[in-house]
This record gives sequence, C-alpha cells and structure tokens, in this order.
Amino acid sequence: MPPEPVTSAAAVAPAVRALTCPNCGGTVNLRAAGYTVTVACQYCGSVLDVADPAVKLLDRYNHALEEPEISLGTRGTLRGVEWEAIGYLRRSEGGYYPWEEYLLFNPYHGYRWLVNVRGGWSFGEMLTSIPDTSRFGDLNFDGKAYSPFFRNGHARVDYVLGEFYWRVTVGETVDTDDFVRPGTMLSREANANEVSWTRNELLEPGEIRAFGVRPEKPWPPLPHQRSPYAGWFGTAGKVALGAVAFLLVFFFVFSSSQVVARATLPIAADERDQNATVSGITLTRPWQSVEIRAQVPRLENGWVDLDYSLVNRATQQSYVASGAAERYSGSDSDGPWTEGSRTRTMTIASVPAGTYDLVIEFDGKRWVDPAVSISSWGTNTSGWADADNQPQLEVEVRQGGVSGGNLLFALILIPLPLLLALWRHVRFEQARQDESDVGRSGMAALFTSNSDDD
Amino acid sequence: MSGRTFFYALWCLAVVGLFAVSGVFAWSPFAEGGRASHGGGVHGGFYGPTHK
Repeated sequence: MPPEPVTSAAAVAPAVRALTCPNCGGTVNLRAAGYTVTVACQYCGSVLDVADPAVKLLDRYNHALEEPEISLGTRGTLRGVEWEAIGYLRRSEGGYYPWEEYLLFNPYHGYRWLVNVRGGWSFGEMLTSIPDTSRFGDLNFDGKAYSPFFRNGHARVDYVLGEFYWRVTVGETVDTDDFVRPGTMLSREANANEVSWTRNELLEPGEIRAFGVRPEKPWPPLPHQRSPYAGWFGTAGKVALGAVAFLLVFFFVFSSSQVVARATLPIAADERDQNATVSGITLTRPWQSVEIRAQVPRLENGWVDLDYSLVNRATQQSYVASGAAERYSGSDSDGPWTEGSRTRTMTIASVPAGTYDLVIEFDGKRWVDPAVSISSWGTNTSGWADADNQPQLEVEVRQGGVSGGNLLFALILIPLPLLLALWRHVRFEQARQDESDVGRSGMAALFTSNSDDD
Repeated sequence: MSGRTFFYALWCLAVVGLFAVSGVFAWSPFAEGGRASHGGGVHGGFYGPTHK
C-alpha cells in the first residue's frame, strides 16, 4: 500500500459525497471525499477515478459483489479513536494464502488498516520513517528489534471494494518483506516507484468486536502472535518458588525422628521360624510414622524374612509390615557381583500416640546357587548362618514425622503445570515459526527433533 | 492476576496443603506398613538374586 496522504483538521474538511457510477448508474457514496482517489462501485465493482470532478472509469466490471465481513461504512472505536471502514481489499500471495485488508478513515487521524489473516486481526499504521537495519538481518524501530519472518513475498490485489487514496486495481502486485516481534509486525511493500512501511499491531480478540466481528483463534498462530504462555513463566516461577520454600521449611521443622526402642535378636542356624517382642514402646506425638530398621551384619547369600506387628496395648489395634533383608554375592564371567542389602527399613504410617508392643516374626534362610551341582549343596554358602558364626538381627524403632517421599512427591507435583505450559509454549512457537521463511529459532529450535527437520 | 496464574497458585496451594495435612497425620503413600485391617507390605515370594 502506498504512502497515505496527509490529513488534518485544517485541511479540506472531508464530507460524504454522492456520485453516479458511469458504468451501472448506481449511486456511489464517497466517505472521505477530498482524499479518495479511486472508488470501487458497490453495485458493479467497477473502479472509478474520483480525483477529477469528472469521474472516469478505470476498470469496468459487471459482477455480483461479495459482501465483506465488515460492511463498508461501519464505524468502530479502536484504541480511543472512532474509525470508519471505507475500503476493502482481498490480497494473496499469487492466489495462495489470502488475507483481507480494510481501509479505515478518520478525518482527524487519517488512514489506518484493519488486516484479517485467518480470523486474527491487526491494526496497521503507515510509518513515516524507515526502520534501521541491524546485525543478523533484524530491524530496529522505536528502540525495538524485529526479526525477519517472510522474505521476498509478492502480494497481489484480488478484489477491491470501496474507496482508496491511490489508484488501486485488481492484479496490482507489490514485493513484500515482513519482520516481527511479539504482538507487532513491520511490513515492507515496494513496487517500481515507491517503498512503504506499515506497522501492524495484533488486536486483542475483544477489540475487534468494535466492528461487530466475532474473533477467532487462528492456527497455526499468526507471525506476530504472542504465545499465551510467554509472559506467564516469570509470575508462575515466583509462585512455585514460594510453594517450594514452604515445603522445605515445613519438612525441616517436622521431619525429625528419634529412637524409641532397640533390640538385638539371635537368628537360629536351623532356619526355623522365630518370634520376639519388643515391649513398652511409647509413642508421644498425636500421629507419627514408625520406622523399623533391621540390620543383619553377617548376612551373605541368604535372607531374613521379617514380619512386624505393632500392637497398641490400650486398643489392641495392630499395625503390620512385612519384608525381607536379602544379600547375595558371587562371581561369574563378568567378575564378582553383589545384590541386595543387609539392612531393611520399613515404615508404618499414621500411628496414633500410645504404648505399643512390637511383635517380630523372623527366620533366616540360606540361598544355594542353583547353578552349583546338588553334590555341592551345603558347601557353597558363605557360612553366615553356620553354628560357629551366629547371626544376629539388630532392630531399631524410630518415631518420625513428615515423610521424605511425600516431600519428593510434592516437589514433583509443584512444577508439573509449568512443564505442561512449557511444552504447549514450545508447540505454539514451533507452529508459529514453521510458517516463516527463516525457520525455527530460540526455544522452538531447541526442542526440534530430527523428524521435525525432515 | 491472570486466570492462569490464579489456577496455578490454587494448584500449589492444594499440593502444599495436602503435604501439610499428610505431615500432621504422618501419612505417606510410600509407607510399607499400615493398620492390620488394610494389610501390610508383603514380600513378593521370590528369593534369590534377580540381576541375572
């Protein structure tokens, strides 16, 4: 679009003027009389030259006209100024990727553009100064950097309706380049005679309702569409940090534990079932977790079954846990190996205050390597349960508070929505940048897989 | 405060609240044992090394 004419209150006051179409005889209203150079007849579509009082026919058409989404003559207030839609262009990239442009007019503010691309609307203003070129092909305008997005485009006028300040005709083509930053696009249009720059600011969905248009959510996003998550991570990060700080403070204050009982029990070498009772365990907190740690220092190639019953003396309510301490070792073609642990810790949650007895049922077993021949059974053990090497079970009971597992779980849950938002932000940026002639950059490029490249 | 921030703050509040309540009652989904009526942890029934 060529540079717009200067309009001011001191200039000739615009007025609505009616003229007769020399092609169809219809009455054509000029809404920016005095500034308008051409007008497309609203009845037959013929383009008229109205710069001269004797109206000339520039292009003759006789076809049914399409009614644009915003009827010409519609007024709406955008950013504090009332504008009237006086012209309508449908343009495309050589017949592909069509978009619409409405010429807006206000006698005191001049011309603006309302651009509709796939249901996303931008408010365009012709620039009176040229942006500066910086390194890496970026542009600087008003102290803000713009990145290249579309290069070497060719915008063609496919349809005209209403009035314009230059001699516009169907088929008119200009070379285009577009540069973007979130929310704004700088468009350069050039033909053999002139170069013009337009700044298009993306309108919020609610703003375009001023012209009676129902906003849509274009997908893929528009080149200058801001990711809905881009500005959110900073605020959300502060919320997350506050929550994590609370979790850590709470954990360190309430996670202390103390030993309430200890016992050392001999394990029978004949592998029979045994039981023992640790009596008089007093739990003082209203609620606590009870951690039972069993250690068998000499355990090797065997296991000790452990069944605990923590019985409340007053209520006979029983809290149970079962497990085993297992420890194996050997040697194979890869060298020596070990597996398991001589220590087994089990936790019983939500135990109320009271005096308890801990009943322990246990038995020690030897493991015989099945790869060893039957004739060798009984000789390939490590001797941990042999009669001359009496094994012992050392039991320690602690009352504790907040579980470390709960903390870890909470620390995973807190950033989960942030990660989801990050994923959606990346998908948004990838979809947006995939429309570009330049390719992906920033975070969108960071998460690009090889299949995406293909 | 945007709606998205509000709902995220609500999420954090719920996580922190549940963590605090679980701490007060010393409850944990990761505990091996519990009340007898709910059953305790059970050994899988298999003994011996599993790495080979």
